[in-house]
Amino acid sequence: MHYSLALYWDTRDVTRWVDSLVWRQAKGSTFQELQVTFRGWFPTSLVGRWDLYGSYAAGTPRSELLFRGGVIPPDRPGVVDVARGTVVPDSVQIVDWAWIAQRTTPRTTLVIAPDRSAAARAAARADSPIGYWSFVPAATMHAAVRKLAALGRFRVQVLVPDYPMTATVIEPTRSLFDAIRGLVDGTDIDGGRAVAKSADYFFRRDRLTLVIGDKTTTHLRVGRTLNLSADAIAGLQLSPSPFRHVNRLLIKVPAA
Amino acid sequence: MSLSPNKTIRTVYDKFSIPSEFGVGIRSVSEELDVWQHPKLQLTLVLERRLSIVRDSDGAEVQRVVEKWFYDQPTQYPVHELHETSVFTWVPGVNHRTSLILAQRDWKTYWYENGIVGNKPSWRTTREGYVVYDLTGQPYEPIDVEKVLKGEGKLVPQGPRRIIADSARVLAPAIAASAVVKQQDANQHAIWQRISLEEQIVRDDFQRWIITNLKFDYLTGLSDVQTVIELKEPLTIELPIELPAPDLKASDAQAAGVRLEVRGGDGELKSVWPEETVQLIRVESYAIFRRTVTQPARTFDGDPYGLYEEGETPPAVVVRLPLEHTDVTDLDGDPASPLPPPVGYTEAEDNDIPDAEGSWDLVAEVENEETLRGMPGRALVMDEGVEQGGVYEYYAVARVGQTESPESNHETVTYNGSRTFQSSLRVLTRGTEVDVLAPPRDGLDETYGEAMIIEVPADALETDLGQLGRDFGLRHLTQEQPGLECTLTPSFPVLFMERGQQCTVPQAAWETWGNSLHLSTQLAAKKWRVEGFELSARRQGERLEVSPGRIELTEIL
Repeated sequence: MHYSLALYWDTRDVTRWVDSLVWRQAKGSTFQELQVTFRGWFPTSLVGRWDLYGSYAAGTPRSELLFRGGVIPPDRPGVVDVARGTVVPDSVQIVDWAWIAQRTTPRTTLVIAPDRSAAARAAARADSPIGYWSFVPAATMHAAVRKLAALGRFRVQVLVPDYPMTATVIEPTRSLFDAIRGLVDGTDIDGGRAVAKSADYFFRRDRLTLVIGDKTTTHLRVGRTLNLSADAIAGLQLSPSPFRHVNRLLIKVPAA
Repeated sequence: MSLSPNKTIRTVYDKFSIPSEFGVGIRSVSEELDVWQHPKLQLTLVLERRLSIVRDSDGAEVQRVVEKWFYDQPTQYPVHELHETSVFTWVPGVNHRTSLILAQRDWKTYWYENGIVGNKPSWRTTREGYVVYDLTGQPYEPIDVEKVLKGEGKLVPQGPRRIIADSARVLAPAIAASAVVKQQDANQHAIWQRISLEEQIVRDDFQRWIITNLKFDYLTGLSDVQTVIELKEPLTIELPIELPAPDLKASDAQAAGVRLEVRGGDGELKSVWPEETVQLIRVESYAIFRRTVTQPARTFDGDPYGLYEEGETPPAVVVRLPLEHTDVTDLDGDPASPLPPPVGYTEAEDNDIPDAEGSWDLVAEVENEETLRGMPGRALVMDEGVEQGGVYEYYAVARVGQTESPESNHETVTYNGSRTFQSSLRVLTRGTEVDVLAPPRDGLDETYGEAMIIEVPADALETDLGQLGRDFGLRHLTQEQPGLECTLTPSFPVLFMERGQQCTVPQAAWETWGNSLHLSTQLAAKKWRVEGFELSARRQGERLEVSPGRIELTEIL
């Protein structure tokens, strides 16, 4: 069987310059990443889309789009390394669109409330004074999550129970994804961030959809189902699942 | 005192055209019913019926049927029945003017053995009427007394002597067969006489009726006697059993479903003679019904997960907009095809018909499990057709034969499955606190673990805070059951992977020998979920050599 990978930067096939390549999704991560080591690279621009194609057939090298719309994370230092007289192999980390969707922030302060008067009251009562704010009408958690996802230009599928919502303020410093997690899982009192390790968040790539489920969700479907035959398994290693044991949960529900 | 009519119903059927049995065309039929109505009971008896048939040609009444029923009391059978048929026809030797003449009369008498009214009655019907005889064709020969006295002449009697007895015909069939000659000097004559006798004699034997049917034809002299024995209907007594409502207990049995326990519902039969006793009537079966109050993952038909949202969907291509690309083309230089638009859809694999809320479904019909006589009935059912987080309402009924008890108490159960929590509420000045405690884990101290404090922007007035605590408790406190994680090395690079997709791994079995030790174990075929993966490629000469990498899986519980 023939396996081939092809890496494209914008519309250019850059596979010839690739020395080694790792395509991975870390355990529990919502986004995928590519770690590419180039034999030598002269970027005309650091802005560009990266796509990885794969195929089982030599004739159609781009039959599967494995990695779509990747970017180099802007906060990453040292993308290009030049030393006098030598060609330094450069290793570049590329993350896919889910990483971008996860970091999209609202432009202004958002106030989610069932009606405008409740939003105004919540804005007036906020801990720190807020300036210009946008009103996002939503009466339930599911509706609010869908509104936030629409602002981030991705779709969302919520498979966790709904609850009616009171007014809540989302500062522009929080990403939309973190705001969604705060609505779904609650906000940690100490850190002020969404609580980690609670609901399961998946980015469903074929539908550009954020899928939110939890341990009791039975109808979770992400991607194609992988049926591995016995021949397809070279080896496996089993270990017990680790778990974090929280034995007490204090939920603070503010007065409306 | 016989019943007399207190109501008359007259009905005229006009523009009627059927041939009567006496062979004339009909213009109209009128019917008069003399009816006795019981003043209070819903009981109506017809005492007399007069049917009049008017001839089509000249409007003369050609047939009149008078039927009378004589009752002493309002019973099922009358004492006598009279049927008289008068007809406008030629009766040889009797009615040459063709006026309305009584042609046939049936007289029926009912009686009961031993005089017990209400038994199967015996009856006798006597039919009289005109019978047409043919006469001998010889001319009338007057009796010559002298010759007779001399012994030469014959003494030939007049009239009946000339009748041919074998030619007897009842009038109506004779007319129908065109056997009546309408001439005054025809050799025919009609005589009013008895025609037939029918009798049914019922004798009451133990558990059976002995019924003798007797028929006698006066014209032919033939008789027919048959005896039939009919068994009486067996004696059945419907005892009114009043079953009390059984007692239902429903509880969350965690992994086994909802535990439903029914008790009681046995009827009691009290007798006071010869002594006061109470007999327990055993419940044969219990039927348990369920109604779905709420059920998670089911919102409404066609879109169970609320995926479809009306209005403009966010355009798919703008995901790349943060990279400020305006001239996006595909790899061949053509304009990029947009990603498939979102559609209103439901999950393709989910074909279950959602339970209509509010409809009662029969969950189980179980037999009484109590085997000891005289003990109240009981039954135990596990309802497994419930979904975690659903709220269900149950009731039961007890059944004995066709008798069904009233509904038992209604029990509402919130099925939390294998995860149950304790929670408490505290109302504070600025909101409410829901304190949720995880259930103790096997082998661990109750105080083991950490506490988590979160803030949820729920509307405290509208939210069922207990449910909210349960939902968040399920998510945050879920102690994963002892599951497995698997790092799998495929034998070839698997393309198209993403976290969250399902993975089925076949049953893997392996054996190990070490000196005298032999270990054999296997991995049951289960569903797994991809939690992460890695696939690497390295340059080998001109091409990238792809290594299979590894796939991280977790068990789907």
